[in-house]
Amino acid sequence: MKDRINGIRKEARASWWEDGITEIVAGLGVLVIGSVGISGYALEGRVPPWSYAVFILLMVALAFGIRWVVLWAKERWVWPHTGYSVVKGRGGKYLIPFYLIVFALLALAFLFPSYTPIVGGTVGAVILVSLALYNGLRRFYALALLSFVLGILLYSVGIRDDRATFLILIGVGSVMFFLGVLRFARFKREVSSAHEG
Amino acid sequence: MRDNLYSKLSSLDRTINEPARLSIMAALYDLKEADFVFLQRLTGLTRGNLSAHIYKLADKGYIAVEKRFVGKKPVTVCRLTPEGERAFREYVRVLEDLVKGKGD
Repeated sequence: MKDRINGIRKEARASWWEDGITEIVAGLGVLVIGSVGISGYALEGRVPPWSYAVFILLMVALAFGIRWVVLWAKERWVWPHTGYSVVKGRGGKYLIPFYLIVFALLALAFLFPSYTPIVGGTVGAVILVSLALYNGLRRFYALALLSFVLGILLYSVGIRDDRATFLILIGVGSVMFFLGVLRFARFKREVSSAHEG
Repeated sequence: MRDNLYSKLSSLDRTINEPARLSIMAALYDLKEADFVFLQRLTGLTRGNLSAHIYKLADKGYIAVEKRFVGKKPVTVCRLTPEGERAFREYVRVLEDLVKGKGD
């Protein structure tokens, strides 16, 4: 009985991710944040202070704005086919720990700058594994592994400053976006074949 | 101890202690709200069956049912009431105690 309850609860939470829209929006957001940081470096030859400000602003905008964008997209492309459902925004209670982790990461990177890629990759992996466990999303384990491996890889090739964090964000964001697009394409195909059938 | 376990078993909420209604409650527990089509897909119940169970849960005050528009489409939206959430949590707690053999 307990397994059945947990199974249905997990299925209800996973339904939020089944069409790929959340991954497209989150992946794109993370990709943009990383790209802004790395563009600052490309322009000035170092990570300029303004890119940190933009980085933090975009992080806050992504955390609060992702739900609106996803709801807007689902209303147009998903709910007419699957039925309407909105997952509970339990993210709110995780926002404070999330920002504590981000600031701890910044502090660690400040104190031990050469370990920035390893710390960044590990924190990314922890966040992604938590999402995978809570929502029953196995593909997020692969993203977590990617984040961790990228951290190690950047450390070993000698990219040990804040560029590493931005490169990890670009790597994870683009793969997440790509996975989301694939998932959305599959979803659209299934929906149209269901209509034909 | 044994008597306590029996009394716990009899204290299981009978409205929730039915597979179809339990599925609906479990599905809605993690959702802010959902419509009939979605719940039908998730629980695998027929429309008539789902409707009967939803209204039984609504009568008990565990579920709020509301008709409204999502975009341009009229939908029947269901969500757990605070009382429903409490009842579901209590049901799961009693169930866990029974599985662990706790009869305190």
